[in-house]
Amino acid sequence: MTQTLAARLSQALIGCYPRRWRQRYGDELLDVLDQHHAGPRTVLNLAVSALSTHLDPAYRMEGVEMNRLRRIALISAAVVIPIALIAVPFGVFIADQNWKDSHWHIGISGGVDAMAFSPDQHMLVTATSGAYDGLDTLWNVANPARPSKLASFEGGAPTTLSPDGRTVVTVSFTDQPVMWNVANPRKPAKTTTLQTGDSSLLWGEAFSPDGHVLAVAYTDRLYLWNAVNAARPVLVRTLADPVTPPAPDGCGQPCQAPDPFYQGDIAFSPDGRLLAATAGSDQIALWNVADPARAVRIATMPSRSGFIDALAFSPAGNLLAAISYGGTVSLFSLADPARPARTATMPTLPAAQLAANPCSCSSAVYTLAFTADGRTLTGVASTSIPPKPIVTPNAQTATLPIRDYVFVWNVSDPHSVTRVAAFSHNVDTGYGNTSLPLLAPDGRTLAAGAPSGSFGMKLWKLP
Amino acid sequence: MHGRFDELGRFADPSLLILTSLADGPKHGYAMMTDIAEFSGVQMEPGTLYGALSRLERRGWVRPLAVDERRRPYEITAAGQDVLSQQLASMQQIVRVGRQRTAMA
Repeated sequence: MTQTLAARLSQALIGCYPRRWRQRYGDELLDVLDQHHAGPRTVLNLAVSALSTHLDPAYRMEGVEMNRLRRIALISAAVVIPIALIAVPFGVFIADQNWKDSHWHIGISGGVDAMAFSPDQHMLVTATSGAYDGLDTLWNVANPARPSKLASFEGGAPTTLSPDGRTVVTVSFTDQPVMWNVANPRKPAKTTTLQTGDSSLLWGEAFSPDGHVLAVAYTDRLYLWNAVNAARPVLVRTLADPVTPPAPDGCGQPCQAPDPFYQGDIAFSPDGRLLAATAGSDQIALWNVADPARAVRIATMPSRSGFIDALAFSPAGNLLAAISYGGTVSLFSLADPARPARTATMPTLPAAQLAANPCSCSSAVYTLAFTADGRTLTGVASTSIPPKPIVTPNAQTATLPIRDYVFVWNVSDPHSVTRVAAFSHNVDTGYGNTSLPLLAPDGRTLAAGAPSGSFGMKLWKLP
Repeated sequence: MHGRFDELGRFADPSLLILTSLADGPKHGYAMMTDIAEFSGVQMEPGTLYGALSRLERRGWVRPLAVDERRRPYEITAAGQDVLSQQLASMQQIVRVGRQRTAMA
């Protein structure tokens, strides 16, 4: 500290003494400082001295003044505290009601490989792959404005949550389903590993809406487990799901899945009597599982547009929507489940990419969901591929940022579907590639997970 | 050993030096600081000086004189001289015992 600075600070500190003290000694002290070689010690000494003078009874505020101050403080507190007690929670409530999105870090390395919501949308489970092992994380998303982590435990993709939110199914190293009791979501406990003996890829898990049946999908087989006792599920049926040969696509070549760990989708109808699963390279299989022990395949629907990535039943169970890797949505009427009838085919934005990518195997990832009234179907395509190159003013081609392209259709009349909205949203999970999207049960909330690295998760309320 | 000086707490030592400085005549603040530094080697800082001075004045042990420009001299009062004498006597007793004991050792 230079002497000039110390001198200035010292002079300034005189202003910190009580007013009456300054009136009495201020000028004298300034005169002393004018002659004294002030240093850091002087500054510190004056600061301590000014403070102790404030504590000196002779310079404390007089009783009357203190009483007045106390009264003012009490009145202010009596007014301010109740207002704050009402206004602050109300402000938080309003802010939470108006939330648009929330973004948080998963805090571990590895990308989000799978996600599942509880039916009440209070919990979200994410499965992430680490360098050596996978991890499942339970999130409390009852208030989507402020998601909070409940617990992490050994797991991986695929993963699913039971309808009552008390059981999470993950996967073991050897591709066997693993049951976790999350009745206390802060202390998950592994209950059992289901031994299917299947050595192929486990790619899908789903609970029936009543939680009594757990369906597990492998490369060419489906397994149905009675999960009434979630601690000891019993295998009740194995369904052969023969892989059909890849069909040639528009390029005349078999359309290969873009990811060797290709995962399709598996879904129960709302009444639990039907099970839909992607089958082979371009089909949807429909199984009657009203009696799981006697489950039988009742229909097979060709996708006509390559691999099926996501499936969704309407809340009434009368419609099944499927979206292919090519970005085409097919809507089937299940008025007669044994004879599903395609009622509409809707392209999505990535289909427009086909001009640049004619093989209809985009790198997009999709999710589908109906709204609760069954009138609206929402499809989300998450892709890093722009629909078409943008030519900037300096004639250079620019790349669009990773985006979720959202399409909303009115499916009140499944034979006359109309698109009511189409927009894009910058996912911004912190990773410059395709994100993993998942529509929540309400069909209005979108979860997006970064596919790699310790980046982000995002919840977004669709506008 | 407890005297009125002890009531000054952490200002007891600076007050003893100030009263000693004023014992040979009135002085203003900076003159006291230089005088104290000369006879005791203690570099008293202005904050400490005025913290002690204000307490000595309140007890009637020093008295402010008329201001000469911004400089106000202080002089020791009769009460201040009494207190100083008592304190010095007390310290003398300590010095005497201390010397005796160190000589015996």
